[in-house]
Amino acid sequence: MKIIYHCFGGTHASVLAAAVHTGRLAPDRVPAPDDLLSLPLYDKQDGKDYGRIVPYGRDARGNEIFVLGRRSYAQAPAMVFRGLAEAFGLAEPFTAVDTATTLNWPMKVGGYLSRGLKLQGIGRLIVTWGSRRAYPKVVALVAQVREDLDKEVRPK
Amino acid sequence: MKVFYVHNTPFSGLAALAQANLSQWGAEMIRLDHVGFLAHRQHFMRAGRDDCGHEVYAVWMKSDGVVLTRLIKSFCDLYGIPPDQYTIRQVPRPQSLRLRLAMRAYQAGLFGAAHWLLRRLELPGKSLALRLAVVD
Repeated sequence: MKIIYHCFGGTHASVLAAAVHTGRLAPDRVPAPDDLLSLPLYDKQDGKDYGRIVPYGRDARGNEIFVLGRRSYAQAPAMVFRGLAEAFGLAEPFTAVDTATTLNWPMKVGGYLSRGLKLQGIGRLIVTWGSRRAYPKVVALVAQVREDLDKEVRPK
Repeated sequence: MKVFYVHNTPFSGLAALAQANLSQWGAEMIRLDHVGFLAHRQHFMRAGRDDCGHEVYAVWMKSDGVVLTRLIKSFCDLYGIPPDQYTIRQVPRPQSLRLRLAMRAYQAGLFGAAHWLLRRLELPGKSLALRLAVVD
């Protein structure tokens, strides 16, 4: 199974979710700002990466985890990928997970300052603060994804 | 080989249908009464097979074409689909003024106006065929 976490820039919410899912971040402890900033891809992708699916690792069950920036087109990945999977008759399943539901205003503002305006000093301060506040939501989202995966693989 | 027409309006559907229909009817005609997809803001559809045996698809969503193209390429890379098995085509700018206006209307979200303009392009009489000039 391929799991693609996507958000506006593919660099904050989706990276957080992918980091939790792959075990880089512990679900029961809110990470420190330095932990966040040391994550691969966290606050690093920008406009030239929109639309690119970037590998992030594997979870304990061997599922491949990816992150994707898709700008404001939240429904696009699921629609396009479903159509392509059908067109090519792909056997390996995937799921596209919108992580924008976990976003808060500090993440949006901080992310824009850091990635959009390149004001990394103030931007990172705000976006890491927002990310820490959003962390429980991200953990809950990943838990839901795992639960859904369990339902899919569990024999009926 | 699969051909994907991409655009930010249903014109990619029209372009894909035109290519597929060329082999079926031998004419660049699309019947508007057979076209249900024009109301979709975003859609992925199979239009058919062209005379070279290519499977023709259309994808559209309100976005810039770069993101849509990258999504397709990136997903194909992810599954190891070689680039020679598919091609992505942008819908060219139509030559007809009315078609250009209809495209602009779709881009502005004025779907009713776009449909009205497309209907004006139908052939005279009771035919519901639309001369399509979007495929070069």
